Amino acid sequence: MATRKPNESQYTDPLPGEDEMARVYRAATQDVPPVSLDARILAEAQRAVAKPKAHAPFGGRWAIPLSTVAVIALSLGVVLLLTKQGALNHRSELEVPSEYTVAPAVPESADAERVVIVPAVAPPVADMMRSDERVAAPAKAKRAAQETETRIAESVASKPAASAPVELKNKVEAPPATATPQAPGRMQDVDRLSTAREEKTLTRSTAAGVLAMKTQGAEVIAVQASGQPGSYQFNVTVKSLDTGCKQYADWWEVVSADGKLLYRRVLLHSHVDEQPFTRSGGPVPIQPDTVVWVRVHMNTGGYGGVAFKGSVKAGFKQVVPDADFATGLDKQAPLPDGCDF
Amino acid sequence: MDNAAPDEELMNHYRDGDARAFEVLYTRHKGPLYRYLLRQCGATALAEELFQDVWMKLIGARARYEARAKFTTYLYHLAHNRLIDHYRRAKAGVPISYDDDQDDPLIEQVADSELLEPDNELDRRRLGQRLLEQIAALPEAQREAFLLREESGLSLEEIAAVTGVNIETAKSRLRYALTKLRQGLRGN
Repeated sequence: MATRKPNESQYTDPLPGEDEMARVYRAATQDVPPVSLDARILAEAQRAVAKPKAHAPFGGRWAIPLSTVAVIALSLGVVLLLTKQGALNHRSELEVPSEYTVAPAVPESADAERVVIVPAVAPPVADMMRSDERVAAPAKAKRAAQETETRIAESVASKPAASAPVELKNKVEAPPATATPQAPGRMQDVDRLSTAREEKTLTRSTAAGVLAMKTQGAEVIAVQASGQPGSYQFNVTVKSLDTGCKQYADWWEVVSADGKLLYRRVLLHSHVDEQPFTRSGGPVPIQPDTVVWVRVHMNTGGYGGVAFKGSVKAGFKQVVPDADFATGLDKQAPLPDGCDF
Repeated sequence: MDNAAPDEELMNHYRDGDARAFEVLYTRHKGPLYRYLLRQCGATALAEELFQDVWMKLIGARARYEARAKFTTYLYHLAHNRLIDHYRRAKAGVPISYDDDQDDPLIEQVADSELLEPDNELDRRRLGQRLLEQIAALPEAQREAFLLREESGLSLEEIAAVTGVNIETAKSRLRYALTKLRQGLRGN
């Protein structure tokens, strides 16, 4: 507890009975946050100021301004390059018979499109990655994301092909040019490849997608328990597709093997910017070998499909419970009393 | 890192990337802030959630931190706002005690005799427990004034700044709190 310093004139004197009350109060209250909470906050504080080792020269304070300048400079460079290429193409069309310009025009245009358009489609890729990550191992998710990105880049690259036939119509009667007849064929190949890859990617992600759907947008990804028999604290890490109060993980709970609610930790708010997140709760009145389930609830989709099962003694493992396990607990108190944000 | 460095200096160091400075700052303030939130909301899980939110807010806002005011005032201002925000979103809304600062005849009955000093450890514990119960029964705004005074050591002027009221209101809330606590302890 802090020591008061009299730094006011009119309001410095202790009020009647204040010192006496302070003495009793200080002797009565010793509560402190749990060690696990200390660790989480300190880790977050450290992470927030951790500097990327490869970019030491300018430190954390300059990282964002410098990266912004770099992005603007690169963007300007790309725009200038495209402008320049457009001008060159225009000039070549003036100097060279138009039938000879078609073949080079396709790849150049495709390249230009790739540079400009790929960032515009990046968010869907990120969204897909989020879905994949929910159930796949990180390496697998990364691999899938890379392949997905490749697929999108290629399908974007093939987009100019859609406009190419318009130009090609003018070239049908032109003298045979080596590059010209190849363009449609190549474009078809790209389309076929793109379609095949798309199907393959969709097939591969189907299992993950089904599982992700089953989780209804939230799942438990780690469980730790500590304390004494009959009174354990649980640290539960949740990953959820929170968007705000309209869609968020609103509680996690500990349920006995026969489906009775043992403890529920109501979450005050969504965790849009903190994923995954860990919240502690307890005490949970169980013995070391009591088998329990730990599961998370989403305000929109109900209970997640992926939960943890186990005991303090044996540890907890990720399991998907039966769909009809412990139904009806979502009507049982305590329930959320609003969402802060 | 100098463990005796002023809060403001530590926060400046943390803003500039020194995580150790934050650790010193956190260790210094975690207990009082936690107890302030725990007594104000009454539930451990809720207090932990709000406690973490306040520190996360501080961490997120570190780049904008300027030592224009006392760090403690800044920290408890964040905590007060988080608490009010929580009240506001809950079904019950912001407690009426934050609006109702009318005179109470109770304030005229300020006791002049001292509380009985417990002569053994058991009595001291009982007295402490009774005090915590009386604190829990206080209106939120008065309880907050008492906790800001006792836990964080804020002056009346700083309590007023943290809670967004004038200094007379802050003083009035604290007086009500102290009077009710004394009466409550005597009544038991």
